Amino acid sequence: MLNERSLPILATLLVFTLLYGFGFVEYNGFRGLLVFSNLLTDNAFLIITAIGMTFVILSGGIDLSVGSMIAFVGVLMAYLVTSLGLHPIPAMVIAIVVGTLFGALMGLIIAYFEIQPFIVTLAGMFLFRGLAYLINVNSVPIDHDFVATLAGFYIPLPGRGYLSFIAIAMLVLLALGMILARRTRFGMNVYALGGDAQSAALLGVPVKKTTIRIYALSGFFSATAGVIFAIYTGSAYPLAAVGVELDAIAAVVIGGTLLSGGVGFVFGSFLGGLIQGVIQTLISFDGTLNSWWTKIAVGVLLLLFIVMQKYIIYWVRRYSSKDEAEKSEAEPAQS
Amino acid sequence: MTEAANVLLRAEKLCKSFIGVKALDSVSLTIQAGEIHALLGENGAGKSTVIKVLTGVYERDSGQILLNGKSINPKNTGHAQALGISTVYQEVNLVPTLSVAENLTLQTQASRFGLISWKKSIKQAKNMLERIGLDIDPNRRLDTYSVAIQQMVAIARAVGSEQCKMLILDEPTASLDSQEIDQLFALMEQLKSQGIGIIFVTHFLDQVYRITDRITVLRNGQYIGTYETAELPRADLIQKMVGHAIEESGPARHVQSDQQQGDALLALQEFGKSRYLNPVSMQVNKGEIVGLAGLLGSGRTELCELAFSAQQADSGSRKIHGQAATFKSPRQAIRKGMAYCPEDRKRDGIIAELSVRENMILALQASKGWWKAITRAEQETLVNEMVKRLAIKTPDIEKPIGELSGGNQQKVILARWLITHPELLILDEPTRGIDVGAHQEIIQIMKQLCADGMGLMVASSELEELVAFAHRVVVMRDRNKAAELSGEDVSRDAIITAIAQ
Amino acid sequence: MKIPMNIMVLRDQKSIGPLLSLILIILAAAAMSPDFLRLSIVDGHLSGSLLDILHRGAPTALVAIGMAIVIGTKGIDLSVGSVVAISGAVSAYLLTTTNLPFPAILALTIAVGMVCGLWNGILVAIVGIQPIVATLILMVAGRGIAQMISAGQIVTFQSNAMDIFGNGYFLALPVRVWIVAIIIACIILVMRKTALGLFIESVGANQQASRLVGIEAKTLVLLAYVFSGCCAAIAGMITAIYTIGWPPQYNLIVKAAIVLLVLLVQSPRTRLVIKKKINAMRGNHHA
Repeated sequence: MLNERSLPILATLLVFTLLYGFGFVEYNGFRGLLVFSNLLTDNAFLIITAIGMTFVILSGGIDLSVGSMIAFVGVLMAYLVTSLGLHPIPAMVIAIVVGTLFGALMGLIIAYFEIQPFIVTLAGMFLFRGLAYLINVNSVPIDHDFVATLAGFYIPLPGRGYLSFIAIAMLVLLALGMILARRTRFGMNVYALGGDAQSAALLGVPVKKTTIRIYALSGFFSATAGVIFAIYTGSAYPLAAVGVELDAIAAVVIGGTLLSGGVGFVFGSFLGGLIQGVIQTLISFDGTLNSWWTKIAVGVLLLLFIVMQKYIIYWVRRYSSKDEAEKSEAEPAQS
Repeated sequence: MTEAANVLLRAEKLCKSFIGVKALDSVSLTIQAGEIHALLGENGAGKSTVIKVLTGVYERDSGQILLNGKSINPKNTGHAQALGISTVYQEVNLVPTLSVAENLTLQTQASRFGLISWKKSIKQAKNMLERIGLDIDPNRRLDTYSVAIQQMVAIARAVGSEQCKMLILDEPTASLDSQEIDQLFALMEQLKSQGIGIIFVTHFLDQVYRITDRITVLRNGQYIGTYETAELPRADLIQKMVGHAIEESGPARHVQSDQQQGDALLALQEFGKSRYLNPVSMQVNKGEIVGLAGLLGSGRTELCELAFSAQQADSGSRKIHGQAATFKSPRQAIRKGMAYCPEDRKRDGIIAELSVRENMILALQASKGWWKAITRAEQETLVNEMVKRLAIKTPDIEKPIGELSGGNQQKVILARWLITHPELLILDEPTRGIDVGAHQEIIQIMKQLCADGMGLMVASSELEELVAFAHRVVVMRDRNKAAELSGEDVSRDAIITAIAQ
Repeated sequence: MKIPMNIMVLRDQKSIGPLLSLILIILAAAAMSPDFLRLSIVDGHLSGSLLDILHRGAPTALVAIGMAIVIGTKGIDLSVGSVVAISGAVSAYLLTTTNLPFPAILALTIAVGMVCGLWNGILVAIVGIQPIVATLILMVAGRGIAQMISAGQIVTFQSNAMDIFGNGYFLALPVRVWIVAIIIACIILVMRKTALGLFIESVGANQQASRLVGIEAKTLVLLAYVFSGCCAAIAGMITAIYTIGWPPQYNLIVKAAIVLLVLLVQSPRTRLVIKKKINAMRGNHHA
């Protein structure tokens, strides 16, 4: 049904189709499944981060620490594997648990000290980047057969396509995020919190507990993104993923989620991440354009989506007032 | 029917203090099953504290609450609801961005294999809506419905759970028009017939007499008494609420219309805005109060806003002192000697975080511009003078205005304009949401200003009040001017007839 | 390291937190290394750790001043970083490709910053988009724009005037510190002596009500963003010359700790307690 809820995500889908369709018409490379497979793999860490960010933004908050978290988790994992000689699996688990706990800690501060998420996660952003430097100042390779196996693993698809381990992990996490958002009480509480925190509290939503869980969840997703990023690049570097928080926020907004909270879908963020990837691919296929055009294009898309969301609010209001007018016209007729 | 058999809730000797201040001092309340019980009192009487104690928002210091004879200790609103006590507040406390069904089932969604089953949940929501006889699409977003419907959805949620025995309605009618109020009252009667006990908190005494069975009055945190509504005359009720006899602004008219018609401060000629207010002609003279009557949504507020240029008119003309005034912003209206106390004090009037002093000098400072600051000493002189003149109760002029009671906030807003010495004062619902004592004081102030030669334009939904102080009354209906009454023609009946035509 | 001086210019009481933390950090640093507080005169100008702090913190402080005004209107300007980058790139571009005199370049760069601010201001005040959302756009696109102007390369250039602006000394203190000090002094003076601070707070707390008492709320909000853009542009010019060698490790952790510390002091709950104490003290004073 075309309504105020599904319209933004349909717009996202339309933008994606147009961009991809443009590539399809212009470049031979787009016609196989290879480009799409690459999109899934190359943007996996961004999309995973964006899934966690979706929950934060749906609740009316923001998490600026995700980029630093990716770097920190990568460096931590590298340290555990190369310096302490741990097997990558326990190292990944530890890294993800630590990331989740840090997220929960930020949530705790936001919930109990009533400080704006923007500022708490800004502090987190500095902190994680600093901690990463504390462990290691340089870029280190993560030399381990298991990591190499994971990075190399893929399921071949027809049309030169493939599904890498990284892409599979991302799709599993996407499914998890979608179920969590729409099919659990926690998810509905997140939507309620973002729609109107005061009312949500009066309706029995445990605001503090939910807030802590939201940031823990974002910590979990960004930490997992960090692990995926480490596998993807095969190395860890404290200056990695600078500015990813912006790309993640952009993916969420372009995915049709309202930045003020309460409205949006996890799947939209997936599309939003892919759109950024498509723009990048198109620019690299073109060959004459520089990489900064990606940022400018994303900025323009952001503007379009923000203005569209603004217009939708008007639309809903006019729609509802028209509805009332109809009602008041209809009622005298009945009496 | 014996009372004991039907008692649903009995609260005994409730006490609650906040840092040394007694908010409730041994308050008792008995609600029977299937009755509508008014809880009345001035602001600060303890009504909301009682509600918050009953619903577990506050923990009581002493006393006990018996529900169906069993002692209960609600820990929070959710717990209270599980016990059978639900609350609906003045402002719709639902989430506007969720769908109706999502709102109704929040925290109680039906699940299957640990995940929410939307099929079952929507059915659950439909049952809840059915119970109160509301036929709307549960899949639509809540904010696409009118406030009245949203209020009903809130009630559906409150009584939706099977265990609901008692419903607390805290000022539910404040933002509804008369038709919507009728709908709400029909629903209340229906719930009453299902054996639910309803506590009804309101400022509107008309409504109390229209629908309630019994009344409990609180004053300064103390229990005054419980009365059968039919046996308590209105004047007695008011006396019990305020503690001392206050002459109710009855239909007696104290005003004589002996003004010269020529001295027009403000004259509107076919002044209107498309889809907002149809063209209206009227004028306000020096030393005259012009009342604006009409139902909610009839165009009273719209007329005030257009006159002050808070909204921009697109047709007709406006003259001030006989000269065309085509300005387009409140700022310019103020320069022309106008002032405007808006209806929604919280949204359009006070700046909650700023102090009483800052709020009061803001308009004068704005008219002087940012460069020429009023010195602190001048400010304090002006403000203290006004605090005394209007009897504003504040411990300190540096206190944030948001912490004052509604009546005192209104007086500060009034003072804000009086400092600028306006010639024409527009007041929209100056006495709404204000306790009875301050109510009378504000009316006295208005009369005094008028006697001093100011012109006033006052929109009010309280007809007795208008009849008591207005020289002329403009009656609005469906965003049109329906009639203009003056002199001896101004009476409650005449206004009602004009509205009802 | 310099504490962003946000909010402090607006209201006296609120500056206690940041000021205390600044003193604490300086004391802690002095305790760890006694040389920290030592100042000496080298080549006719002061030098020492404290001077380094001022030197490095100056552009950040400048950006923070602009931000403080924006935050005063209950807004936020996420794009300052991008505006710093854009204006830095613009001034470098003008220096390398044109023969314009320095004042003209200065004026043009500031104008570019103000246009950026105007864009934000229009989105926030006129279109009515939430500040955090509206300024996000320029934040994202701005980085690309800056790279586009500098053509993706770090521009190297030589200019005496620019060098003085960024690295010069005047009366023993760095010129950039003078610039920032003068701007701060002007702002404090304006906030104290005029009603601008009151208007900004009023608009921040309730824009609709402020409009109805005759304050030009939209214009004020718009100008706040323009001012922020202007500050960021000056900071951009300063940093264009002198790229800070940022010792990363501890610096960032300390920064995080400070942000939190200051905020704990400023969180609504703690602020309430402090306010009560201050009021009590004031009450005693009067009695």
